[in-house]
Amino acid sequence: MRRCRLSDEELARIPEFIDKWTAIGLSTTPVDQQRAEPALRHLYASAGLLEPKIIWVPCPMTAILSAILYATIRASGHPSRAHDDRKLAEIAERVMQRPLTMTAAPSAYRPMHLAVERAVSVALGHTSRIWSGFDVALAINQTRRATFDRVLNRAVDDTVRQRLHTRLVTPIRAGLGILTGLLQPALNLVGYGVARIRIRHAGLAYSGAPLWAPDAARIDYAQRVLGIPFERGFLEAVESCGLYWMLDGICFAAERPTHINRDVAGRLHCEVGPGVAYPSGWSWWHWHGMRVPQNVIEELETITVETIKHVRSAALRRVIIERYRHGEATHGVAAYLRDAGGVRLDHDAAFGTLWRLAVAGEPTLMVEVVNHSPEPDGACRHFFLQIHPELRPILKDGNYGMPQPPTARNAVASTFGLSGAEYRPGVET
Amino acid sequence: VIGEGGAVLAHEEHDPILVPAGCYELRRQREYAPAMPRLVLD
Repeated sequence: MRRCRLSDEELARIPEFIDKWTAIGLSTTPVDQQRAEPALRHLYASAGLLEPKIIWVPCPMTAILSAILYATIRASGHPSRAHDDRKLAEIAERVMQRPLTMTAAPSAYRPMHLAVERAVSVALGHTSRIWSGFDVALAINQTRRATFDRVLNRAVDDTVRQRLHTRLVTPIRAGLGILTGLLQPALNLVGYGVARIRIRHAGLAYSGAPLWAPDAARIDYAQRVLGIPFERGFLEAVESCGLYWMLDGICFAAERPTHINRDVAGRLHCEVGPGVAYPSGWSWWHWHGMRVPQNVIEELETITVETIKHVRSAALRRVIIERYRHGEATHGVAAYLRDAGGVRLDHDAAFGTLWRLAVAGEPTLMVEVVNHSPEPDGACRHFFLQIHPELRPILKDGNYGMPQPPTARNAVASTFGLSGAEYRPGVET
Repeated sequence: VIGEGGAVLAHEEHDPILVPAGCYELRRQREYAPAMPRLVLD
C-alpha cells in the first residue's frame, strides 16, 4: 500500500539529510580516488556498459573541455592524427580558446589548457573501440531514474513526494546555490555553445556533486528513513566524487574545489584571493557575495580614479571604490574623493551628497546615495552615480531634460528622468 | 496596476514593501555616461 503521509519522527529526520548532502555538495576535501573509482565503474556496470578508463582532471571546466575535445577528435574519424602533440595542441587551441576566455581568468588559461591536453592525450591512448557517439550518460541516468521512480511511486503517493521535494530537495538546492550558481551557467555556456549535437552531448554528459546532491539526498532519505529499498551506487558516486563526465569507454572525473570562502553572513567573500577556487586555477572572486574581477581582490594597484570612472556597473563601482588604496591610512571612499579632487557641492540628508570630481582633468558630477537597508554587519552601502554635468534628467528614450541647479535632490531625481520638483519618493529601501 | 489589498514587493537585499492598490509607473534608474546613458545595475 502506498504511503500518503510522513510521520512526525520521519519529518524530524529531514534536517539531518539536509546537513549531510549540503556538506557533501560544498566539500573542499580532495576526492579519495580509491573510493571514487569503484563507484564510477559501478554506474557503468549498472547500465550494462563496459568498464570505463577513469581520467582525473583538476576542475569541472577542464573536464567538460576534455569531454568536448575528446569527442571532437573521435568523431572526426582520425583520432590517430591527434596523437602527435603538436596536432593535439592545435585542435585543443581551436576548441578551447573561446570557452576559456568566457569562463576563466587569464591566469588560469595555461594550466587549464595543459590539463585538458594531458587528459585527452591519455584518453586517446586508451582508445580501442570504434567511436559510436553512444550517449552513455543518458543510458546511465535513464536506468537510475526509471528504477528510482518506479520504486518510489509504488511506495509513496504524490503528497509525500511533493513534501520531500519542498522540505528536503529545495533547502539543499538553496544551500548549494553559492556553488551551483557559478558552475551551472559556466558549464551550460560551454556545453550548449557546441553546435554539433553529438559533441554537445559529450559536453553535457555530466553528473555528480554538487549539482546532483539534492536528488541523492531524496534517495538516501527514502531508503534510510522510509525503508524503501534502493541500489546505492548513484549515492556512492555523488558522495565520493565531484562532477564526472560519462562517455563511451572514458570517464573524465573532476576534482572538488580547494576553497569556498565566505563571510559571516554566508556570502562568498575573500579579501586576499578567490571566493571559490579549483586546483586548476579555475576560480571566482567575490566581495561580500558580489562577484568581482580578479584584480579587485588581488591586484589593487590596478584600481585608479581613472579605471573607476569606466566601470559600467554602479554596484561593482561601489565595491571597487571600497577597495581603493586598501591597506593605506586613508582608503576607500575618502581616498577616492581626495584623489579625484572631489568638491562637495551639496548635501541633503534625505537624498545624498553631490560631488564634483576631476578625473583625468575632466569635470565629472557624481551623486553619493546611501542604501536605506543595512547590510548584515549593520553598515549601509554607499553608491556613486554619475549624473549629467548640468543635472539634466535622463529620459527613457536616451535624451535629456532641462538643466537644473546643482543640488543632491535634483541629481537623484535626474537619474529617474525627473526634475527635483517632480521627484517625491514615497518609500525608499 | 495593483488591485485591492495591495501587493508585496520583495527583493533579496531589502525589506519587503507593501505597495497599496493603485496605478503605478515603473521607472528604471539611469546614470549619465558620455556616449549614452546606462541603466543602474544593483
